[in-house]
Amino acid sequence: MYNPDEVFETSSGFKLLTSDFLIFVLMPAIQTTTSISRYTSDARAQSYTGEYNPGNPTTWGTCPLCGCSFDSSGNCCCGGVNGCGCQYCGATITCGSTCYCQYWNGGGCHCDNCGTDYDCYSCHDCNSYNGPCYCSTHGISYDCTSCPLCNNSGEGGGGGGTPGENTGLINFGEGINSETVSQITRNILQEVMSCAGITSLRITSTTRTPESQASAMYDNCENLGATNQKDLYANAGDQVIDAYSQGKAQNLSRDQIIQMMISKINEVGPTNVSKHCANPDVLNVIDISPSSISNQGAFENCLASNPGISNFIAPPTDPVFHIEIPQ
Amino acid sequence: MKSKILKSIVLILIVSLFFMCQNTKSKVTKADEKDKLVGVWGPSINENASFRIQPDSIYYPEYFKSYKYTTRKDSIFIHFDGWIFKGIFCFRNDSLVLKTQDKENVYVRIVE
Repeated sequence: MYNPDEVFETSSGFKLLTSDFLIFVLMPAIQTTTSISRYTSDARAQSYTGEYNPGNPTTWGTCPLCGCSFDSSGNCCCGGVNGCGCQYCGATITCGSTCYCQYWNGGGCHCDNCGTDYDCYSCHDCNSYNGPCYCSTHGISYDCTSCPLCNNSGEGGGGGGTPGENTGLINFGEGINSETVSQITRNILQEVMSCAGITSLRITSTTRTPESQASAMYDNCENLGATNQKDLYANAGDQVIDAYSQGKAQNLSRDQIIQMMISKINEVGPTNVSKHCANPDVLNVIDISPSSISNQGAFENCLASNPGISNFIAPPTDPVFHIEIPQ
Repeated sequence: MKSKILKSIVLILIVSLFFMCQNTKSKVTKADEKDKLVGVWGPSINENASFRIQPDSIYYPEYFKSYKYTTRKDSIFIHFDGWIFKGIFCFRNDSLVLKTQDKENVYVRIVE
C-alpha cells in the first residue's frame, strides 16, 4: 500500500520520504521523458464557427455568420447554446442561423407564376395553388401558398400555408452563381438535409468554367512558377501548364496565353483538369461550407447514401464538402 | 553500508538515464514525423494532388487556397474557414494517414 510518509532510510542516515522520492525523482523523470497522453479538449476549436486568428484578438473582428463579436476567449457566440443577437434588427435568433430581417424591404423572392418580386419575409400568396414558386435568394422552391421563410425561420413574417417536406434553407455565398445549381440538385440537397436533420447549408462554389479555371491556373503559374504547379496536377493539368509555358516562350499576352490554356482544357476534357470544371447541364458541381453544417457526421453519411450523388469528397481531403450530381 | 548507498545511487542514475534516453529518441521521432508531413499528397499518383503540406500551411490546389495548420504530438489541426479540422496523423509505409473518429483517409506522396 502506498504510504507517502514511509521513509527510505539508508544505513548512512540519509532519509528520503516515499512522497519525496516520487515528487523529486520519479515524477520529473517521467514527465520529462515520456509523453503523458492527454485528451486535449480544445473547447474554442469546438465552439467557434466564425473566423478568427488564434492568438491575435485584434484581428478577430465580428463573426461572419451572425455578426456578433467574439467573446474574450475568441469564441463566436454563434456556436453557443444561447440566442445570438441579429446584427441587422437586434432580434434574438438561433445561434448559427441567418436572420432574414436583412431582406426586409430588400425583395429577393420571386414568384414564377405571377412574376411578382417580394420581400422574402412576407408570405406571397398568388392564385396558383401548388405552383412552383421559387426564392432566388435562398434557392427554395415551394408551393406558392406557403411562405418558406416565415414558416421555417419561426420569426415574424406573414405566415400562412403549410411548409412542404423540402423545408431546408439553401444559402449561397457572396458572388456565387446560383443559376448553375439545377432543380435536381436542389431537390437532392433537400433530401440530404432532411436525412441529416439539418435546416440550412451554404453553397460556397459551383461549377467552374474552363475560362475561370484557365485564369486561376495562369495566375498561379505566374506567382509560383510552372514547375511548382506541375507538381499538383495529373497529366491533363500538366498539358494546360505546358500551354502556359509555350505561350510565355512566345512572349504572348496574358489574354492570348489564357486562350491557349482554355483550348487545351477543352481538348483534354475540363473534368480531367479539375473536378470543379464541368458542363452544368451534365454535371452539377457544388461545394458546401462545413461551417454551415450543424451535424457534419450525419451530413456525410447522408451524402454517401443518396443515389443521386455520383461523388463527394469531405474534409480534410478537401476544405469543403465537394459534391457532384449528374443531371 | 557504503555499498548499499552506492547501489541506491547507481540504481536511480540508471533509471533516470533510461528515461532520458527514451525522451531523446521520442523527440527525434516526433520531429521527423512532422517533417515527413511536408510534401504533395493525393489519392494516387495518377490524379491531381489533394494538397501540398508546407511547414506551416496546407495548400489545396483545387481551391487555390492555403490554410494554416498546427500539430501537437500526433494530432493535426487544420484551420479551415470558420472551423477547425482535428485529426490524428500517422504514416503507413510511405502513405500519410489522417484519421478522425469516424474515418481514415490515406494519401500517397506525389512529390517530396
